[in-house]
Amino acid sequence: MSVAAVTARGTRRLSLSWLRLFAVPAAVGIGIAASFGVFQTLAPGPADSGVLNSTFLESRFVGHLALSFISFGIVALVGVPLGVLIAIGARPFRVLVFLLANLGQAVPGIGILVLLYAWLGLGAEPTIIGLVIFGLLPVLRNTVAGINGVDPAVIESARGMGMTRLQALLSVEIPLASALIFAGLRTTLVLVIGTATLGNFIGGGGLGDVIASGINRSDRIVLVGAVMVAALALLADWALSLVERAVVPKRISA
Amino acid sequence: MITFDHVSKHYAGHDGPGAVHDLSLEIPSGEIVVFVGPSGCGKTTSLKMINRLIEPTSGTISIDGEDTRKRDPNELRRSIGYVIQAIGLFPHRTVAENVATVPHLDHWDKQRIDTRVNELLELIGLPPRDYAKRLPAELSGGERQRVGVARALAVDPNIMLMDEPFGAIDPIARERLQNELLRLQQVVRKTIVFVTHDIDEAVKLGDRVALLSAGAKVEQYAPPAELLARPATPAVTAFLGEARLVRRLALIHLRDVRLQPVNGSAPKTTVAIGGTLRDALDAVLRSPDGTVAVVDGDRVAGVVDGTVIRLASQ
Amino acid sequence: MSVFRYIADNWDTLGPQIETHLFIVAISIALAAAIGLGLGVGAARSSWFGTVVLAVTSTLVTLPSFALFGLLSIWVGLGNPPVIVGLAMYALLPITRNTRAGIMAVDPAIVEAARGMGMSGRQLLTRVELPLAVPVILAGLRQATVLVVAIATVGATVGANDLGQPILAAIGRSTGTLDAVLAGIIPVAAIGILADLTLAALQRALSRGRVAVAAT
Repeated sequence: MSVAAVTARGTRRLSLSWLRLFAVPAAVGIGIAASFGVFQTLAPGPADSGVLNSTFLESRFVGHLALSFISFGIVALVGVPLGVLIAIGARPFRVLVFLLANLGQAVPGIGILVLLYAWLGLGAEPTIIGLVIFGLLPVLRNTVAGINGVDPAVIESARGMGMTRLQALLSVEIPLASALIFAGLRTTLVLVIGTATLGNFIGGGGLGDVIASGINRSDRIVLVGAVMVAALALLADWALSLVERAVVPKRISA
Repeated sequence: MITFDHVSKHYAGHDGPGAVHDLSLEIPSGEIVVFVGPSGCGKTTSLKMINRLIEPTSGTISIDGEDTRKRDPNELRRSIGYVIQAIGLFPHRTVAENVATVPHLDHWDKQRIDTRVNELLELIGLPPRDYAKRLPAELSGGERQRVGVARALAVDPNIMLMDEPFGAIDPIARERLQNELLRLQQVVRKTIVFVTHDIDEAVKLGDRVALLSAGAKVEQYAPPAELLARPATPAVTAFLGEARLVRRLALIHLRDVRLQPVNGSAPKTTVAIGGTLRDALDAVLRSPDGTVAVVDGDRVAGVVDGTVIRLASQ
Repeated sequence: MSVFRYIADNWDTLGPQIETHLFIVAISIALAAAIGLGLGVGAARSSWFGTVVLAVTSTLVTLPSFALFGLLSIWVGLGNPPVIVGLAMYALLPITRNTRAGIMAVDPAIVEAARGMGMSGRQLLTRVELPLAVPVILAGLRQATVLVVAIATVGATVGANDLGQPILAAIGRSTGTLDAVLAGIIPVAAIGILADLTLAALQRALSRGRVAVAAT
């Protein structure tokens, strides 16, 4: 790649980075402000006071955070190391991972949750298990693809210079794969926060409770619930993108 | 000295490309030895068995009398420079960080690493001030390969393994890199094992050339001039191709040639005594009467004609 | 397997649900394709427009589907409409992104040759750039379709009578829960996989002689 091309890419990343840094929180702020205006135009419903109070909203918001971040934490802690192991060791599993990841796209998240319900009943645990299963696939797929996508010549030269298998993995392969790994993590975070909204159908709690209690009854409740979930998803993705910027080596991209 | 003692490498099930059958060879210290042969002949396999990236099926490879199997493979590799055609620079690290890889693995202190990196970048002609902070993506192909060589030289290993290092580089840059390698070798005096499929590159760089055929069978192992003058087998002759004797002339320096004394006035056409018989042949072909004066500054050292060249080339 | 007996027994309800599911998917993809092609062409022409369009469309896919459908239902009512609009919003990203990438990947030499032969901007687009970008655009359409087929099930939460209904109906049943869920999941997955394979075949058929560009 020519210097000019690299510079061009650098500039583009820079401008995108400024956009990311400020545009997302700004847009979320504007969106929330606008929805206050919209809120006033909507007819109040009889159920509003029971839902639109700080106790109920806070409990559902905290519940949503817990569902999402516990699931995401498990996925990240299990998925990345497992993906690395599959990429370097278990060839037969690689095909399986890609197959499942593709199949997983065709299976609806709500279906997975209700399957878990059929197996384990109502509650937060089946919801979390369902979210973990659903969120694991993008992380596994991207980790495996990232590690396997590292130029074999780079690995050969690392080994040829006397790096141990572990040194090559930690200081060469994983950093080079990190952009793709992070892309997988971000996909999963958004997926998990979104699917957690459906957790209310199997008794998982979360902000889905708010939206569901407004459907057919009060547009105001639906609006509040939807805006809260949307803001949460956007801000969480934004926060993870900041982590990504700090962790992924600057000049490589997926 | 690197010694191959009845070394074989077989791949399960088939006897295809890359296999090595019973290779025995000695590589003297401080020399450039080139493995040359058609693709799949086992030359790269033989090279990679030296630093144990590939383990032999049988036989022994020893360095200065010590069996390489007795050493930890990673420690062994850190003590041997390694350069490959694809270069394999780490794309996420700067030129300086790439060169510092092995010193870093060997836990050198920062000061010593910095000094060494600067020294090496100067040595390969990439001034640290301009190049240290660059990324591999910001270098030309030739510059990348020079960084690859600097990286291999970082801890001053006695041995360098080079696997078709200039194979993917355009002809002009390749010739420059070959010349630089020879210049570098004057300074560093490493034992270099160099793999190529290009016989001209082998003849140019090698103190000795091992011409290998399938299974890493040694067809001939000799200094390049001897290889060109006296091919040992029909396979060698075939691989050397046409005009081997003309090419050999480039290896014979005029200083080593017995010249004819000047008889009467010296010929008008001249050639410098620093040149080779090939330069002399070129001058002879240009000269109206087929004779050429070999000049050493202002002095005429002697005369060359077709007969002198023919005698000297045998 | 008992789930297939369940499907057969409940075909009267499932049949229309499958139909509605297909209908919702088809309309939303058609909508997204019409808008996404235009946006993609614009994004390929102007870099700032491209940046904005990609930022907006990738923000859209970040929105949780239940929230988006709920929000849309405030204005377009419950049932199919919020689902169709919401799914079209999700499908915009892959279609727009791939249209842009496909056009930008066209060899500049080909564009120059076309210009040299006197083609106008519109002719260049419709006779050269878009035809060459077809495999990449189809790849985007394919991703969008698989995505939308699965997410459409969430439409049941805002009253669409699609394949999300048997899944939701499974909750609270005392018996046959698993069969009921699978009666929703299996047709959804089957539709998704079939659509994927069909579009993949189409993509291959239309890729002959064109530069293969990895779909991202």
